[in-house]
Amino acid sequence: MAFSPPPNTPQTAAKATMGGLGAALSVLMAALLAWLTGAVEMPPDAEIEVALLGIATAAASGAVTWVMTYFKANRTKEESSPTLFSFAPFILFLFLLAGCATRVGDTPAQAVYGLQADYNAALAIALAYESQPRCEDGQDLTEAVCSDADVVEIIRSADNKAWAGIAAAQDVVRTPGATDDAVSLAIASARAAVDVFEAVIAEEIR
Amino acid sequence: MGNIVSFITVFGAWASEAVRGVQEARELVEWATGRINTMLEEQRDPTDEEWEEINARTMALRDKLHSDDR
Repeated sequence: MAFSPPPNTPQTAAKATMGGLGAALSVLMAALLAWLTGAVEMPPDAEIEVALLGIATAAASGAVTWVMTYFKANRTKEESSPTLFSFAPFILFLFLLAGCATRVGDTPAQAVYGLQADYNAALAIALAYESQPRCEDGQDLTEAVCSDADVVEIIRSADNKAWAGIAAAQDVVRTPGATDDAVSLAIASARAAVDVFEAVIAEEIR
Repeated sequence: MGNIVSFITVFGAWASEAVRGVQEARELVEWATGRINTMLEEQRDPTDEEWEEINARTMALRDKLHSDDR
């Protein structure tokens, strides 16, 4: 399919600008919520630097979203993704807060235990999306909070694979006499499955 | 103006659920980090009870994710 940029109309620019502003606002509000809920703690003398970093991140997210929205602005409603596009940076910010935080253990069993904890954290994020009411056909997604049934099924499928990897790794590290190769392979497979699960969430919930 | 009000309304409702999710995620990570720190200090692997505990947390989350009650 040949690539063709959309016509540069005021409507295209307006949609892109709204998308960019939405993305920037999402990051700023996410940062504010994280600070208010105690998800982020910082020393007092670092607050200005962190605030500037947050503003820069919001601006960058807005710029990227502006470009992406610009090229999506002329797509029809049927072609558009049925999700809240401008919340993508917010979801990524949640992952920044919630994921990759479990301390890595020294032994294979500790490593799988920590990996399962990260998987549980991703599950909690996925559940926050899944717990929204399902979107209805023809629903204006800019005026409703809902979860897309197709996206939920994709997440559930990815979860099944991630849990299969974790369960298999747990079986191996809890089995006395398992070879080093079997342990290494099981942990690598589980880590890959969890990485895919997290990537699916970041990609689909946006 | 209507778009901005709509955006803030949607964001507020969505964010409250998202914050609940991220708080639950943080609690899970902090709980597991505490367990792993204990294992490191005591130089041991997870006990059967600790495995069962984290498995119970996992299954509780998975049961909700795969439930069609709503």
